[in-house]
Amino acid sequence: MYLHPINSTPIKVAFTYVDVDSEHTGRIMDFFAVKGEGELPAIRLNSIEGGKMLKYKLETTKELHASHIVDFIRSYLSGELKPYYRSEPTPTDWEKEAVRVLTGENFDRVVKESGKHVMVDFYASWCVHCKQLEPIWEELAEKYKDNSSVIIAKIDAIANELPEMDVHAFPAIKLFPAGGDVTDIDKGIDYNGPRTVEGLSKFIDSHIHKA
Amino acid sequence: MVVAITLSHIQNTSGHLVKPPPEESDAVLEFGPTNAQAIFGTDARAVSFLFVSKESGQFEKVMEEYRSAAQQLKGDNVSGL
Repeated sequence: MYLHPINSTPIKVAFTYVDVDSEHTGRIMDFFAVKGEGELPAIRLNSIEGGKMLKYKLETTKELHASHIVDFIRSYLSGELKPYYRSEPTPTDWEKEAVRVLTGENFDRVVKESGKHVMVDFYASWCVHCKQLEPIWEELAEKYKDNSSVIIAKIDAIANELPEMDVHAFPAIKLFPAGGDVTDIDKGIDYNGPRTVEGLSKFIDSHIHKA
Repeated sequence: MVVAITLSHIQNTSGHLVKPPPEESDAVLEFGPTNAQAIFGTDARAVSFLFVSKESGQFEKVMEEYRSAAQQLKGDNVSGL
């Protein structure tokens, strides 16, 4: 249904619904991080702005009224809404193992603000090469355990969205150096060498000595 | 600027319109594997998703509120765009 005002392009918003009981809805629920039961009914908005997909969330009260939805979409259209990103809650024991566990919540604090060299494995749970990297990553973390200027970390890059990170393939390995070039600190330096403790260590060490 | 709402005509990336049967022309589409790509590839500025359980007792009521919201938004004047 289109309304054509004179000299302006109509803005279209499409309305769909997802039956959470259907067997096909797991992926779309994951995409929007809709957890289920306690959160239902839930309203989410997906928009494509400047080639980027952004998600918006209606904070619902117990009962969902048309007026809530109308207000939500109006505030989206007027640019008042901030998009949200998926993040897991940070586990309380994220520092327990040699490989530190990162989430969307603690990423900036650990990676960009800790003043340390942080080597990060961006993985996906379904990725075979990521599984293969796991023991190597643990060995690497053991090796640097006593080096107070280096952190070896990993993050589930599907469950945790990092809008500023360019992660195009899994696993993505990046070093975020302490100090140095601002872009390197923000975006990390991609590691494309062999996935061995030796190769990874060489890379880390060369950047430590540069800094 | 006026907001127009497409309730039913989802344009996919190849430019084909996915048309629902006439009796559902103003309906809210159910999202599923057959139309997921078309819905994500729509030329609409945004797609709204309602997550609801069809089996729950509140389904009809919630859908009514949702449809009503879509109707209310039609022809909306939004400033500042």
